[in-house]
Amino acid sequence: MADQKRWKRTIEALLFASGDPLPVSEIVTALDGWDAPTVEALIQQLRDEYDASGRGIQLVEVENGYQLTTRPEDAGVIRRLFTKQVSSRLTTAALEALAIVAYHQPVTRADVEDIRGVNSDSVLNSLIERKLVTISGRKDVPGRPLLYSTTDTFLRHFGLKDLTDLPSLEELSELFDTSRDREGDEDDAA
Amino acid sequence: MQTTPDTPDVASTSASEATPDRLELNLPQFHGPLDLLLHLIQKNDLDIHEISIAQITDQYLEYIDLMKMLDLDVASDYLVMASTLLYLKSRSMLPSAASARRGSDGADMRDELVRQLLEYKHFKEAAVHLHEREEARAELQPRVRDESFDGAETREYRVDATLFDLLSAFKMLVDQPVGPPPDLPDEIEEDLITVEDKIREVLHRVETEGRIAFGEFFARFQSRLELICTFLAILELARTHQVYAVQEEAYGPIEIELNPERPDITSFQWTDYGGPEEVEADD
Repeated sequence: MADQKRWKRTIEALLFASGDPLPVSEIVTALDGWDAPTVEALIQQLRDEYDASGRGIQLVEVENGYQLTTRPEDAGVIRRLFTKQVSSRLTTAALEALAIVAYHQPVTRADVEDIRGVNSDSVLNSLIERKLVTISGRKDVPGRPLLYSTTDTFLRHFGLKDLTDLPSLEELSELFDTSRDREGDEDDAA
Repeated sequence: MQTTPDTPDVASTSASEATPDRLELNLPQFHGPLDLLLHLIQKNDLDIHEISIAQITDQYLEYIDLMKMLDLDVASDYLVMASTLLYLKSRSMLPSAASARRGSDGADMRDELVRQLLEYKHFKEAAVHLHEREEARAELQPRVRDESFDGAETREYRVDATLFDLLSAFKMLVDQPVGPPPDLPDEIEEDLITVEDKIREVLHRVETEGRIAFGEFFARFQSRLELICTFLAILELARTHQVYAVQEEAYGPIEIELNPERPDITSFQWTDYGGPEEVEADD
């Protein structure tokens, strides 16, 4: 039992030192003799302890790893002292293009434009500038257009654990339809 | 969000009533014809699967007229959609026997439009969801790692040089006064340098020498053509993520280094500035 405490302390130290999301594999590498399932279990315990004891820190799962962050309840107060780097929020057009890449990756520019019905050159370029999207290869068709995929930065920016953390398009539809309170859909929900 | 006046009657275009001083001028910005159509469908509380093409077409066209009247830029995509809708509307007004004789491409087009609308709608919803997640994530503050703290890797903190940085660096090189070469040949031969050659050359150098200063690629006396080919080669390699162009600090000297995770160069064949193409499997 004392061992566990020490181990948790060490994991906590690693997470703190990293700042950025830290994958379990790297923790395992840093500490010989510990296996991934054990580390995972201890991380969950840490997370529960943070939550139970009402600390100002929480442990979140993001970008295929774990990270220590502050809690949303304190966001307002924190902003009074520290102005967050203005990573300006994305426009609707950029979010639409990004969603298409995220769900259908890898995709070509043309794929994105077909779905949106408009030219998407500038939005895709700005997404690449922000490192949310990257070139991941070429499609094996005439013209060999470039293929685009999302990056780890994308996961981090949106607080996603991994790509499966995105709700499926069907799930999203249900969420939106029921909230729009349309009669037909109440029946469909069955 | 009252923008277009309601038009229960197909015949009345009511464009004359849509004067700027009667309507609210805060028109929502639509991201294209599909966006506008979805808005109209939602506004009229219609089911996408059962939209009345005739009604939607009229409202859509009214909206286009409105945009023109208010001097807003009407992208060609909107006009392409307008013609599609008009075609569908005309089909729907044909007597059913005649349209059956002409084949069912009207129905196919309509189904395709519905499919397109549904798909776009899904991604609009996904975009809203992403925005919510973005906002939620922004409320969390992690500890920002100290720049001087190496951690497990020994990579220094660097920023990727932007295209602007590369252009500026290149301009500086090109603007430098360059004296004539030590031995000016009597005959000036035509340079047969291609970007493809330079791509191979740059790659070979970074593979064997590691990180190289940007200026190093242009060090020897070179013709303008050679300078430009080299620069284009670096740009192309950076664009397709074969190499990184990095700076230790903003506006600092740029260095080029190999991307260790790039696709294997031997499986690509570079055409004359046409970009990489895969070589046949049996090479």
